[in-house]
Amino acid sequence: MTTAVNGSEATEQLARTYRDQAAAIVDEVGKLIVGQREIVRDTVVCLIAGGNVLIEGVPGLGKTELVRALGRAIDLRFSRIQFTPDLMPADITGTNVVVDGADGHRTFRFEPGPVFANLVLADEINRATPKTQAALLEAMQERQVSVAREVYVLDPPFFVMATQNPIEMEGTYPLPEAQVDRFMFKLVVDYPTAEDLSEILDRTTGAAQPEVTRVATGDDLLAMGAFTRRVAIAPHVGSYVVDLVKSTHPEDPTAHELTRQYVRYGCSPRAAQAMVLAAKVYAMLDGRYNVGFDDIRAAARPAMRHRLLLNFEAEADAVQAEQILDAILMSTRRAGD
Amino acid sequence: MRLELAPLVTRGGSWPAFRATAYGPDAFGQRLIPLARRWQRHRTLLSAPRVLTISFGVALLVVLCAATLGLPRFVIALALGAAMVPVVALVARALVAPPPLAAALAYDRRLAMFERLSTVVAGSRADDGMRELQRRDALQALEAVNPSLAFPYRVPRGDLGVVAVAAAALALGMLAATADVLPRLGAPAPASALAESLGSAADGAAPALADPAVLAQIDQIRAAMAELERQRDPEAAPAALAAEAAGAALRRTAEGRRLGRALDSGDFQAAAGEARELGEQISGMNSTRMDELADGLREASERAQGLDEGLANQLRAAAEALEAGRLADARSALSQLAQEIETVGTTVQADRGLESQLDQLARQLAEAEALSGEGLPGAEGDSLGDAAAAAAAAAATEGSAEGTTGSEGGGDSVASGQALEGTLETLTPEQRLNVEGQLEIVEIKPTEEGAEVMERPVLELGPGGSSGFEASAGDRGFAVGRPDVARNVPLDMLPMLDRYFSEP
Repeated sequence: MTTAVNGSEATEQLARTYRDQAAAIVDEVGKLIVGQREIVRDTVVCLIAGGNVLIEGVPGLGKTELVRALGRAIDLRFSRIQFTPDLMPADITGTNVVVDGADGHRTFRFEPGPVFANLVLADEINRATPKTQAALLEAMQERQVSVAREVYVLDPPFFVMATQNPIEMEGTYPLPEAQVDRFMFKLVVDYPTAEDLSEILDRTTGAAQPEVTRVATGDDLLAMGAFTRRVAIAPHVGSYVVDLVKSTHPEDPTAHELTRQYVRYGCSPRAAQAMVLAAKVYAMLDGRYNVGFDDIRAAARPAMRHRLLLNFEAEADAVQAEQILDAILMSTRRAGD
Repeated sequence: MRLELAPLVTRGGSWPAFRATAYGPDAFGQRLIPLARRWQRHRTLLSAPRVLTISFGVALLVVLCAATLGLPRFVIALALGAAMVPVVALVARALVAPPPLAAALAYDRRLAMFERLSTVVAGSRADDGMRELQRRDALQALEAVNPSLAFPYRVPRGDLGVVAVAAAALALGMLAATADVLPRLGAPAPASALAESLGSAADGAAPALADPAVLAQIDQIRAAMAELERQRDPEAAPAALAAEAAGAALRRTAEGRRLGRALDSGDFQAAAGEARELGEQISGMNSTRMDELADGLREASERAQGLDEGLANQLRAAAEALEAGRLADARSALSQLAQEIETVGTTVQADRGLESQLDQLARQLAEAEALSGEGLPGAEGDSLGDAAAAAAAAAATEGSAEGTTGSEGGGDSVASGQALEGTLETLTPEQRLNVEGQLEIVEIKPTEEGAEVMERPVLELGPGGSSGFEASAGDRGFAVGRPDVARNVPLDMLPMLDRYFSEP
C-alpha cells in the first residue's frame, strides 16, 4: 500500500510537471498565433500523443506560422517541405548520390531528405501529385523510410504537420484516403475574429516582434506521450468510443440515419485510437487521471471528420462530414443517459 | 448486486437502511453509499407522480368497471390492491441502494465530474500508481459533493397537482362505487335520463332505490303503453305486408320495377308518385310491355288479397283496364291506386310511430324495474311481463299475416311454393323464403339430374341487391331473408305524456 501511495505521489508529480510543460508550449505558441486557442491546443495534443496533424484553411490564416512556432517552442529538428506539383518523392525522402571515395572508387551514399527531422512541416501538401504525397505514407505510420531497398529509421519524436488548402481550390490534389487516415487530427482553421485580427495587426506590424522561447525538448514530448498513455479509461467510456465509430459505418445496424444516407465508408479503428489517445491528453492537461465522455466528445470531430468518406448524395445535398458527426454525437447514448 | 439487510432502524433515525456490499469497504465506497441512496430517493420521488397517477388511474378504471359489471366488493378490493402494487414498488425502490455504477454515473453527469467516480467504480486497466491517483482524485471530488444540492427532494408542483387530481378522482370513484350509484351493465341509459324523459323528476337527480317516484313513473309508463296499444290500428300491419307483397310482385316487371321497389321498401310517397307516373306513361307503351305490367299488377293484387282489400282492388282494377286496352280507365285506375297507396302509407307510418314508442317505453320500463328490483320483490316479474307483452304485441302485429300469402315458385326452379300456416319458426332446413324475400315457403328439392351450380354471395340475392333475379335451381342452398326495414323513429316522450296524461 505504501508503495502504491509513493507511486501515486510520484505519478502526481510527473503529471503536474507535464501539465505545466504543455501549458508553457501552448503559451509560447500563443505569442505568435493570435486566437485559435483550440487549434494550438489540439496541435499540442497531437504532438504529445505522437500523432500527425493535418491543418486545413485558406491561405494566410497562420497555419505555417503555427507549425514554425511549435518548432521553435520545442527543441526539435525542424524541416519544411513546400509541396508543389513538380515535387518528386526523392525530394522528400532523400536519395543515393555518387561520391568519390578516398581510394578513388565511387560509391553510393544516402543523402537524407527533409523528412529526416523531428518536426516536418508539409506545407500545402495537396499541391503535390499523389505520388509525391504518398512518399510520406511510410514515414508517417512506420516512422521509417525505404530507399533503394534500404530502410532508414527516423529519429523519435517524429511528427508530420501538414497544411492544405480546401480541396475545392484550383491546382490541388485531394489526399488519398490511406494517407488522410494517417493523420491523427484534421484541424480546420477559421478566419480570426475582429478582435483577433486587430491583435494580429498590432503584433505583426510593429517594430518589436515576439520571441518564442524553447520550453520543452523532444524527450519531454516522448515522456509526456508515455505518461498520457497511463491515464485511466473506464470500460463504459471506451464503449462510447466504439459506439461513436460504429455509428459512422453505413452497414452497421447501429449506424446513424444520416450515415446510412450519406456515408460511403466510415471511420477506421485509427479514429478510435486517435480519440482515446487525444482524450487522455485532454484529461492530463485538465489535471485529471481518467478520461471522461467530454474528452472523447472534444476529440471526436478532429479525429473523425477526415475519416468519413461521403457519397455522391452527400455532395449533391451539400452535406458536410461535420453535420453528420454532430448528429452522431447528439444521438449516441452514453452510459447513464 | 448483493444486498445485505442491515438493522431496519438506523442509529441516527427511523429510516430503514440497507448496506450494499457491492460498494466496497474502502473510504470511497462508504462515502458513495449515502450519496447513492440520496440519488435513488431523488429519482424515485421524481418518478412517483407519474407512477402514482397511472396507478390511481388504473385503480379508478378497475373500480368503475367492477362496479358497472356488478362484481362483488371483495373483487373490487382485490383489483384495487393489484393496482396499488406500483405504489408499493415505488416505496421499496426508494429503500434499496442502487447499483454503484449507476449512482456514480448520475453524480458524474450531474456535477460534471468527468467520469471520475464511475471510472473508480467500473475500474480500468491503468497501472496501480495511476489507479490509486485516480481514486484519490475521485474521493477528493466526492467529499466535496453536497448531495442535497445535487439531488434535492423536490417534486414539480404541476406533477403534484396531477397526482392530487388523480387521487381525488379515485376517491370519488370509490365513493360512487360503494354507494351503488353507478350504472350497471345492460342498463345503458342512466336513471336520470329516465327521470328527465318522464318529466316527473324535476330536480334531475337519480332516484334512489325503491323510490316512490320511480314506482309512480313505472305506473305512468305502463298506462302510456296501454294507451298506445289501444290507439294502434289493427289493419296497419296487414296493409304494410300487403304493400310489401305487391311490391315484390311488381319488381319482376320492367315497367313496374320502380313502383315495386318503392312499395317493398316502405316508401309510400315515392310509390304513389311512381303509380301516377305509370299512368302518364301507359299511352307510350307497346302491347307487350302493357301486358307484362298488367300481369305484374294482377299478381300484386293476388298477393295483397286478404291483407288489404282496398289495395288489392285498385291493383286489380288497373290490371283489368290494361288487359282490356282501356287506356283512360287504366290511367284513372293507376291514379286511384296512387291515392290508395298514400292512404296505406299514412296508416302504416302512424302505426310504426306508435310501435316505436311502445318499444322505447318497454325499454324504459325494464330500466325502471331494474332500478327498483332489489327493493320491490315481485315488481320485476310484473314489469318484465308487461314489457314482454308489449314486445310480443309488436311481434304479433308484424307476424300476424305470416303464412297467409303464397305463390308458386317461379322460373326454372323445380321447387314448388306452398303456403304454410304458422310463423317463420316452423321453417325446416329444407325450406326457405323465396329469392324475393316474400313470405313464401319454398321446398328445396334438388333435381336428380343435377343443375348448374351458380355460387352467388348471399348479399347479392337479397331485396337490396340488383334486381332481376329469378328463382333457379342454381340458387339452392342459399337462404334469403326478408328485408328488415329500419323503423327507428325519434321519440320525445314529453309531448306524448302531456297529451294523454296531463290534467285537462
